[in-house]
Amino acid sequence: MVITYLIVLLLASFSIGYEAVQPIPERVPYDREKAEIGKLLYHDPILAKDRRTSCAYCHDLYQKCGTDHRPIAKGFGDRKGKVNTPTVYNVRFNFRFFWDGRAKTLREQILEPIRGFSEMNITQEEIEERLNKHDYYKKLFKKVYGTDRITFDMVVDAIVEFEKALITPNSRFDRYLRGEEVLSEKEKEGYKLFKKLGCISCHNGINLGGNSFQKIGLVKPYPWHPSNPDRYRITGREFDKNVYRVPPLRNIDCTHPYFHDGSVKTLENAVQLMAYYNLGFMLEEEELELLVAFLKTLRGELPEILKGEGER
Amino acid sequence: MKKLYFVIALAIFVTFGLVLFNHLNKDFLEKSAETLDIIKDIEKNEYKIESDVLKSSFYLYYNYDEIYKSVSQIEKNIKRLKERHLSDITHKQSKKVLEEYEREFKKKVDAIHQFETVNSLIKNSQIYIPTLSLKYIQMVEKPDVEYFLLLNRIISSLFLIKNSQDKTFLNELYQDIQRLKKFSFKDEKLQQFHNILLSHLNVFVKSFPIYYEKLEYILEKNRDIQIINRLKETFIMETDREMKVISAISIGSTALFLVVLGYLASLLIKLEYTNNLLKRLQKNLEMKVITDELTGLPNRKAFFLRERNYKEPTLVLINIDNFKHINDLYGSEFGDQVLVKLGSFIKSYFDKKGIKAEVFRLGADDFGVLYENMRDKTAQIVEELINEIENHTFVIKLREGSREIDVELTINVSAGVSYEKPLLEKADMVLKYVKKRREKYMIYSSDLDLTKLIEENLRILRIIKYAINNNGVDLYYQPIFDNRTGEIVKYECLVRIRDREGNVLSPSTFMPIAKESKYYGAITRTVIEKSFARFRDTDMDFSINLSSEDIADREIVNYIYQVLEKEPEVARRVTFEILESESIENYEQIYSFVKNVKKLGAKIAIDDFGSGYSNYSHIVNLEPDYIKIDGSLIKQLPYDLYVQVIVSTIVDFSHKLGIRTVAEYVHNEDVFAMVKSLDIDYSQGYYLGKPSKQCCIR
Repeated sequence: MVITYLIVLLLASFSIGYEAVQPIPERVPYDREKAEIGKLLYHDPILAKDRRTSCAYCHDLYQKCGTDHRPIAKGFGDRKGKVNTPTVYNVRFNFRFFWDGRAKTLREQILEPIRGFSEMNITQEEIEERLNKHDYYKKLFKKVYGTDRITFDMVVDAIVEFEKALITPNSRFDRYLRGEEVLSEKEKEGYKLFKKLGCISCHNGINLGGNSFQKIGLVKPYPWHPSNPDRYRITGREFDKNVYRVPPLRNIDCTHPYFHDGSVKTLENAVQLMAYYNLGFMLEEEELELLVAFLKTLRGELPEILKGEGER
Repeated sequence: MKKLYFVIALAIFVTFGLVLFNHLNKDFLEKSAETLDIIKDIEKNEYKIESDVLKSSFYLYYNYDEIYKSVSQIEKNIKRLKERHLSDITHKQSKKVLEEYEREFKKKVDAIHQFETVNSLIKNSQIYIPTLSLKYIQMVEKPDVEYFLLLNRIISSLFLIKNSQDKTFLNELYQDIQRLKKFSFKDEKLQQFHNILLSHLNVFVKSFPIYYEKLEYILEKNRDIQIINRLKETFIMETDREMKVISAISIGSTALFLVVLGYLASLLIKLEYTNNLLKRLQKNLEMKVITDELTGLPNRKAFFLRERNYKEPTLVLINIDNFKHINDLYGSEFGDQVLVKLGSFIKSYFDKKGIKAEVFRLGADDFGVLYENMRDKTAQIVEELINEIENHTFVIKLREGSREIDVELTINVSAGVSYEKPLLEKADMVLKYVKKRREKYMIYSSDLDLTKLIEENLRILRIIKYAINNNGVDLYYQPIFDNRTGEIVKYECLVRIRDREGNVLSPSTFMPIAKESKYYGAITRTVIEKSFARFRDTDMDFSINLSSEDIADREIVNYIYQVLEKEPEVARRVTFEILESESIENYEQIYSFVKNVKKLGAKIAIDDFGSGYSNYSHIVNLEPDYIKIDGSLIKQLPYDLYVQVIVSTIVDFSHKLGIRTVAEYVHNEDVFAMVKSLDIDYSQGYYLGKPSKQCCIR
C-alpha cells in the first residue's frame, strides 16, 4: 500500500512539471492588529536595557533589507556580537533560525536577542514593568488582547506577527516564475547556470535556502574554527563541521557583507568563493557576471505593512 | 413532603446527568473524530515526506521546502495531540505511544536533515562531474584516450550507482578511481583539473554510503509509521472502552430518569386520588352547609343557590299556623318531630303528584316548594296541598317519663305564593298578608303591594286616632237569650268606631291595626268605661271582650281591678270574654287575671271555643263560668252530624264541669232549634237580635 501511494505521488509530480524555486506569495495570513503593535515594539528601544537598541537597530527594514550591513552585529552598549546579522525579511519561510539553526520557531528566536548580553540585554520582568507603565501600549494591548496587564508572552506574540508580515513579494524573478517575461537573456542564462552548477541543490525553495543544513568546503577545505556557528556546535558530529543552515538568497544584493562572519564584502566575491569551496573552481568572468545578474533579480517589494512609510 | 423534595432533587440530578451525558457524548464523539483525523493527517504527511525524500533523491535538485512543510505539519499535530486530544487519563496508553512516535519521528527528522546535506553534496558533484568531463575536452587539444574513457566509465557508474541505489557497483567505481589517481599531468592547469575531479569523486564515494544509509533508514528502517499505526489502534481501543463507560452512564441515567418518571407518575396518581377524596369531602361539607339538619331538606342557603337555576320559578311558602303553641304545649322536641313529618309530607305530596319540585325548610316553621312554572295550576295545587295537610292526622310520639304516647294532631297551614324575584321576600310578604287576613293562601301580585296596604293601614290608624280623640269609640249591644225562658239575660258589648263622616267601622277592620298601635289600650279602656257607665244603673248583666294582649297590658289589668273594686255591684254583673284562639304568650298571666277578677265578683267566658285552637286542659285551669261555642260550628250545626257530635261533646263536658254554654251565630230557626235540642244554655245571633246602640229594653 505504501508503495502504491509513493508511486502515485511520484507519477503525479512528474505530470505536474517541476520547479525547485517558488515565488513569494503576494499575500500571507497574519493578524494585522497584533502586527501593528509588533511593528511599534520592533522599532522601540523600550525593549532594550539601554533604551537605545531596538530590533531595528540591527535589522534595518527600510535602508538595509533587514540587516545592519556590519560584518559582525553590534548591540547593547555597542558590544560586538559574534556573527553576521541575517535578514528578517521572509523569515516565515525558513525552517530554522540562526546560522546553526538552533531555533525552531520565530518565538524561540526572538527570545535570544532580547535577553542576549550583546543585544538588548533585558529581562522579561523589566519589559513587562516598562510596558505596563506606558499608557499608550496599555491602551493598544487592551484593545487588541483585551487585557489590563501586558505580559511578555503578548509582546513576543505581537513581534512574531509583525515578522510574519515581513515578506518581499513581486521580485522580477518571482514575476518571471509566474510567467511574465521580465528577465533579460543574461539573467535567464544566469538562472540556468545557477542550476547547472548545482547551486540550486542547496539554494532551493521559496527563499532559495533556509530549508536545509549544508556544508561549505566540499571540494576545497573551508577553514574550521571552534567559534564557527555551525551544526557541529549543536550535534557534535564530525560530519557537521562547517555545516550551516543554508543562507536564503532573497534580496541577496543588499544584505552584504556575506558569510557567517561577514568577511566577504561583495556579492561577486561571495559567489566566487562558494564556487571555489564547493566546486573546486574559480568561475569564469562571464559565468560570474551571469550568476550575479540573476541574483539581483531576487530583490522584492517592501512588505505591505511598511508601505508608504519608507520615506519618513 | 420530604419525599417530594427528594424526588425533585433526584429529577434535577438526573436531568443534570442527562445533560452532562449529552455533553460528554458530543464532546467525546467530536474529540475522537478529530483525534483520528489528526492521526490520519500525520500518516498522510508521513507518506508525503517519504515521497518528497524519494523525489529529492531522484531529481538532481529538489525543493526542500516541501519536506519541511510536512515535517512541521506533523510536529504541529503531535503538539495538538499531546496538549489537547490525548491529555486526559483515558488515553494514557495512546499518549505513551504518541511519545514513542515523537521520539522516533525526531530521529527521522534528524536523518532527513543529514540526508538533505549528503543529497546536496552528491548532487552538487554529480551535476558538476559531467561538466568537468566537458571541460577536459575543451582544455586539451589531444585528449588522453585512456583517461577520457576511464573518465566516461566513472561518470556512467556514478549515475548507475546513484540511480540504481546498488552498492555492488561501488567496488568497480573504487577501482576505476584508483586507476584514475595514477594519472598525473605535467601541465599545471590539467593537474589542477585532475585534482578537482578526484576531490569531487571523493565527495561522492565518501558521501554515498551515508546517503544510502540515511535513505534506507528514512524509507525502511525508521519505525514511526508502524508506531503511528499502533497509535491509531491503541486510540480506537481506548475510545471503545470510553464509549462503554459513556454507554453505561447513558443507560444508568436513562434508567434513573425512568424511575423518577415512574415515581412522579405514582405521586400524581396519589395526588389525584387525594384530590378526589378532598372534592368529595368538600361536597359533603357543602351539602351540610346547604342541608337542614333536622328535616334533611335543603335549607335557606340552598334555596338561594337553587332559585337561580329556574327560568320561571314558582315558590310556595308554607307556614304552620300557631306553631308556637305546639312547641309550648308539647315541647320543642315534639315540635321538631312535627316539622320533620310535615316536611316529608309536603315532599311526598309532590312526588305523588309527579311534579318535579324541590322542598326547602326556609325558616323555623316555614317550608318552601320551588318548581318550574305551572302557573295556571298554582291555585289547584296549593289548595289541594293545604287541604291534604289539614285533613291529615299527624301521629307524633310523645315521651312522658318512660312511657311513649302517640299523639294525634292536625295542623293548619297558610301559604304565600310568588312568581317574581326576589321570590322569598315576596312570598313572605304575601304570607304575612294571608295571616293577617286569616286567609288560607294568596298568590303575589303587584295589586297586593304593601304600599297600598300600608296606605290603608295609615288611613285606618288616622280614623282610630280621630275616634279616640273625638269620642268616636262606640259600643253596640247584642242580646243573649236564655234558651229555656227565651228572655234576654245579658248583653255582649261590641266595639265600633266612627270616622269624621260618621261611617261605622267594624272591629275586624280596625282591631288588627289598633293592636299594633299605641291606641289599643285606649280603646279597651273606653270600652270598659262606657260599658260600666251604660250598665251601672241597670240590673242587666253584660259582657266585655278582652284579648290576650289586653291581659298582658299591666295598665289595663290594673285599671280593670280598680274599676271592679270600686263598683262591686256592677262587677257582679260583668263577664269577661277571653278569646282563646289568639296567640297567648303567657298563660300564667291569664290564670292570675282570671283568678283576680273572679275574686272581685266578675265572671269569665271562653270565646270562640272549638275553633281549632281550643284546649281542654286550659279550660279546666281557667275555670270559666261560660263557654261560647265557636260560630263556625253553630252555623253548620243542623247540617253536619260530625259537628253535632263535637258540639254535644262540648256541651256535655261543660255541664259536667258546671260551665254554662252559649251558642253564637244563631242566624236562623233551624240552628236555633238545634241549639235548643242540644241543651245549650244560651243563644245569641242575628236571628234573635242584632247588635244595636239601643239596649236594656226587656
